[in-house]
Amino acid sequence: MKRILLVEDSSLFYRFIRDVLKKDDVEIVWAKSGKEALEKFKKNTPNLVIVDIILSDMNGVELIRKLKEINKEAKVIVITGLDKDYVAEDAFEAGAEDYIVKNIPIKEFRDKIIHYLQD
Amino acid sequence: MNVPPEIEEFLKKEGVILLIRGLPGTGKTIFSLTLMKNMKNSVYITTEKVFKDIERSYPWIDNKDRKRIFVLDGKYKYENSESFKSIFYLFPESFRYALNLVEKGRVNTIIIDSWHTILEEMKYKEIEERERREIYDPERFFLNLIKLSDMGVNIIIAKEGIEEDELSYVADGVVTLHKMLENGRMEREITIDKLRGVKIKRSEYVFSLKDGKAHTLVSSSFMHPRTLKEFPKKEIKIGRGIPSCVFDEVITFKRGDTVFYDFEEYVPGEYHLSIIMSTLANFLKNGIKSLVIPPNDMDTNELKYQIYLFSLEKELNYLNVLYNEQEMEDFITYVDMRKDTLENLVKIYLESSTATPLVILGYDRLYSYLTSNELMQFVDFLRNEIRKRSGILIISGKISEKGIKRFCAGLSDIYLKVNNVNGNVIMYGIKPWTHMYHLDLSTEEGYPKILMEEIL
Repeated sequence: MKRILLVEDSSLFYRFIRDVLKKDDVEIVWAKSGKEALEKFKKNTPNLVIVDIILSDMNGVELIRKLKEINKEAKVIVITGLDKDYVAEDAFEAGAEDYIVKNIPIKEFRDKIIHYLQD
Repeated sequence: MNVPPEIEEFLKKEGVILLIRGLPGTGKTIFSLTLMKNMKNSVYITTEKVFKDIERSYPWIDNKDRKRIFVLDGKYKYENSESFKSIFYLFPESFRYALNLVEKGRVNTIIIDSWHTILEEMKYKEIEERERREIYDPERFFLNLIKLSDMGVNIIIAKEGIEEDELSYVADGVVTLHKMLENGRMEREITIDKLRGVKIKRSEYVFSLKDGKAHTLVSSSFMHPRTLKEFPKKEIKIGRGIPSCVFDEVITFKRGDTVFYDFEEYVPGEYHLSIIMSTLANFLKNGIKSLVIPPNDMDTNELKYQIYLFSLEKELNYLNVLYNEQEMEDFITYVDMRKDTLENLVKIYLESSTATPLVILGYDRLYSYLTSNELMQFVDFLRNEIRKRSGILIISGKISEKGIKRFCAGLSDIYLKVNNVNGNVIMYGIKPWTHMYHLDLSTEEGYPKILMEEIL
């Protein structure tokens, strides 16, 4: 079973992602803040980390940098409601694999996650 | 920036004549002196009267610079010139000395300040008629200057008046300095009329003569910071004025104040957002609850970007945004934008808030949902509720209806206008009265920062 660490302070989005991936063999570990994410990342060794840009204690780009400091090979993608090229560039520079804006069609969204899990 | 980049580029050429023209008091001498200061291989030729004024009024012209200023009638030691043989004797002594320096390779630019004062002095000199004809005849003097430029010397001439004449036709470059009064406030502009061989990217610049120096001002476009840095908090203390973190040089808010930012339609959105976000960021970083009904320049995507730019993630608990679309973020509350719903939500918010709450009202967003009367009633309601709690209300947005503007202007304690003048962002205060300020937006310090410069 593959494991995803979802870093997102909105419970709505957590429920959404859980529904989208319910038929897939995936475990979702949910962290509501950057600090919680760092702890769960160390404990759970996820196959993929999904990060939102606006968290309650740090921004997503800062979190990616910290995750990469712990494990350079960590696979991180950004899924966010913040649709700005500048922020996407910051995220890629920090080491993100992809920058996905939340209004993407559900099927495409699921396919992308599965792709990163299999890759 | 002292001088527009086009003029700097133009003066890198050899043998060009630049005419700086303008009515009295437009800053020709200061502009010419600024060019002299920038160009170490230039000399300045002027009259005794102007020289004394320079000594008196411009302390930034130091002794070293003064040595490059020659007075028309001064006695200078010069040698017979080889390169300028044909015209050498047809100039006054100060010019002959300058030409010696050109010959030695120490000078490549001669600045003349000003055309008319020098010609007038020549006219009234007590000299023989023959000498006047040979040396001090204005037409001959003019032709000799052209010959000089043909030999590779750059000539900069400051000239009174803005009319087209022989000089402006012959000159390779012409710039005009203007000063205008806008609601009793000084505004200065420099127009680039022509600069042969240089691509003119911008033909008008705003400039200031602050501290007796020319400063060309440009309102930069927004650049995303290379590295984000924490927005520096200014403390909000009881018994002291409240910083806006933007216009603190001129204005401080008092508890209970209603502040009205009247943005002209064409002011770039980034300037609008940086102005209101700087105050909001400071309130949030001080742990003070803040409520925002975003202006039209700020949709939720833009709001999230501003939160990212100002590094406000840790302060989101203090922020409440009322918005007309459903969003997943906890700090955004959906509201149908009806007057009674808004009033109820504001009351709930204010009852739960600490002292000195901040409310930012983007009144242009509400204008799409409420009638003019409802909007004015809501503004009045907000003002009274916030005043009771010693908070700050900022009304901001771009709206063209004069009735609403007049209403907001009338009830505000602080009323600032922000306009776009030929691509430059200009701010001035109506209440209280302030001078005119040029605004620039920088992100060099790692967060958006509005830079102000007074236009004098």
